[in-house]
Amino acid sequence: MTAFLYLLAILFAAYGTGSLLLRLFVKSFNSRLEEFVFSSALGLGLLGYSVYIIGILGLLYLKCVLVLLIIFAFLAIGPFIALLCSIDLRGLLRKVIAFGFFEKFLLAAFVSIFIICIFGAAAPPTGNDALSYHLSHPKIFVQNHKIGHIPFTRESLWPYLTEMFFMIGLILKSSALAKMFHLLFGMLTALAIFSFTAKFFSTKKALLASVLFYSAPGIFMQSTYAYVDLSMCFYSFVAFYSLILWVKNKSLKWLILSGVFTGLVLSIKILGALSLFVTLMFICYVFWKEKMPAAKAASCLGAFVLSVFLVSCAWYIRSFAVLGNPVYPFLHNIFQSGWSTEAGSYISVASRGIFEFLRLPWDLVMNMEQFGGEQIGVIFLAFLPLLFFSKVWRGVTRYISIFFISYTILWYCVTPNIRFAFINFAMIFILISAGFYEVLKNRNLYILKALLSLCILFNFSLCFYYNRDAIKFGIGSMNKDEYLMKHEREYPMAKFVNENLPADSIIIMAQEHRGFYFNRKTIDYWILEKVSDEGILDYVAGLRKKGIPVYLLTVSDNQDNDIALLLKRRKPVYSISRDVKEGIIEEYRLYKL
Amino acid sequence: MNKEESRQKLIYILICAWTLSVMIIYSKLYIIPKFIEFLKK
Repeated sequence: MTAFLYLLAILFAAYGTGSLLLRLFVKSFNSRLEEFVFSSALGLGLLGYSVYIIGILGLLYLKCVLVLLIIFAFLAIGPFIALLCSIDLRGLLRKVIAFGFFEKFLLAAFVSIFIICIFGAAAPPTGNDALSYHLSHPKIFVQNHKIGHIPFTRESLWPYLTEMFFMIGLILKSSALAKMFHLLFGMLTALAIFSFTAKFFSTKKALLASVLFYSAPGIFMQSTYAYVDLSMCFYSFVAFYSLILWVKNKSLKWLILSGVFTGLVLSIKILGALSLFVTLMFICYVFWKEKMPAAKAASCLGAFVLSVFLVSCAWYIRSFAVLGNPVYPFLHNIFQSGWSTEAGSYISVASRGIFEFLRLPWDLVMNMEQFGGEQIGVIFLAFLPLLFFSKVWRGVTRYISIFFISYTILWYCVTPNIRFAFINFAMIFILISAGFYEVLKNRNLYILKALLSLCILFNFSLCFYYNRDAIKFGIGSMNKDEYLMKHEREYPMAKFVNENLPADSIIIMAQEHRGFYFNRKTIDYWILEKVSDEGILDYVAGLRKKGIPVYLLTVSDNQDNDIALLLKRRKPVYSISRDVKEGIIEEYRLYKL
Repeated sequence: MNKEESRQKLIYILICAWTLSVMIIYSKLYIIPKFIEFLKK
């Protein structure tokens, strides 16, 4: 739990610094919460970029990061004290007591799920992408004291803003802290949803919307992994929030701020481009609706695009300078650098057509495997008809609906993976909450409340079930080794490698990408195959000539010709098997080449 | 009961029926198999 306290300290340092910066542009806010959300978003973005600059300069040392955090904390003292003084705990408590039973239940469910997620985030890191690059690349950056291109990797020059926070965790020797940054972004999104919905709808709707969002299985599960989708969701949402404030206030500052946040979305993931396109379409819609003069519209659009570019360009220019492609390895045809067949790894298995699109709400819940496996949860589908009562085409709900529909279409055409559409979870749950209280208006419809409570209780049970071992780990009845042996398929092999192989060994990993737990240099076989000029056999021969011990890790039987040639008449130095499913056994074998 | 009230009641019944049906199907497809898997462990 020390990691959680560190996280809070870093959050408040970022909040304070963000608040100082934000107040240069925006003087008044609707509520303290609104100010907290925007300041934290800005402050965390600034912190992430500061770590990035330190890393680029090759100063990635504990002392430098500590100095940076101390500077942030020092700047934050004033705003933090002001925040503490402005919190009226008694008033808050009175409001909670005044809530009805249903709202108290919602609040309790929210707090309980969040507490379980803290346990989940505090457990040792697991998960494919987290251990393949979200954490393993920052680990290498920390070892090298520098951020840069890692040879034989696909992702090391991608926008890595969230990974900058993971790096803070790793440099402070706490992978739990690294994971907790993702938890933080999930929680901040829920707070942003609350603030937005309370401002434009009501407090009750705000509470319901944030609880529905946070209790969606896809969200609370992601909170416990070192992924980047929740940070992308958070910045996409605050960018939308600022955009709505611009529509309402007509103040250019909010549009620029929206551009800054969209730039931060693009600094997190290349797929942040979805948010950018939808936001651009949205802005054009507002111009059309407001009948804005062309010159004014052009200057507004220019300000927005410029702020997006200035905030996000650092990552793309770097990739272009090093590899000749700002979005390496994608768009090979345009930049003549990258992989011509790489896209396959990004496209989900769902077939796409008009009929499939119309069936999407059903399939997202009942056949979630087609969309990456994350779950939006049953509440989405069960309460979907309530959308029609949320006055979909009136006031702010119209803007939410436009954003939701455009994003869904674009997402469906580009990459229909549920975790890339978390921002839409926020939008749809705001609409469902609005519809829910419209149906309930002045009536006590207990059955509907009871059904919704039942679904939330089910999600809570699911959260508890998925995190049961993390809770055991948190209370000390399971140690790190036991936890990882149970949850990480490659951990036993990594343990063997770390304990037995020479320190300068290189392990080429075939059919396994998770390198985080290997304290030896690892290279992905499939990436080596794609980017190595000399071919794998010659590459291995070159390493052996230099006297570097080279090992090959395979998973079960491998039919690849090069692997067959490499392994001719060799016997594994170590092998270990595990049950994948009933009757299916997977064998990890390590060969000395 | 006037026309507006009965219309609202009908809508409410339809929503509840839809919600219940989805929950039942979801239980059959997802919750019960997961629960059986859990019990087997």
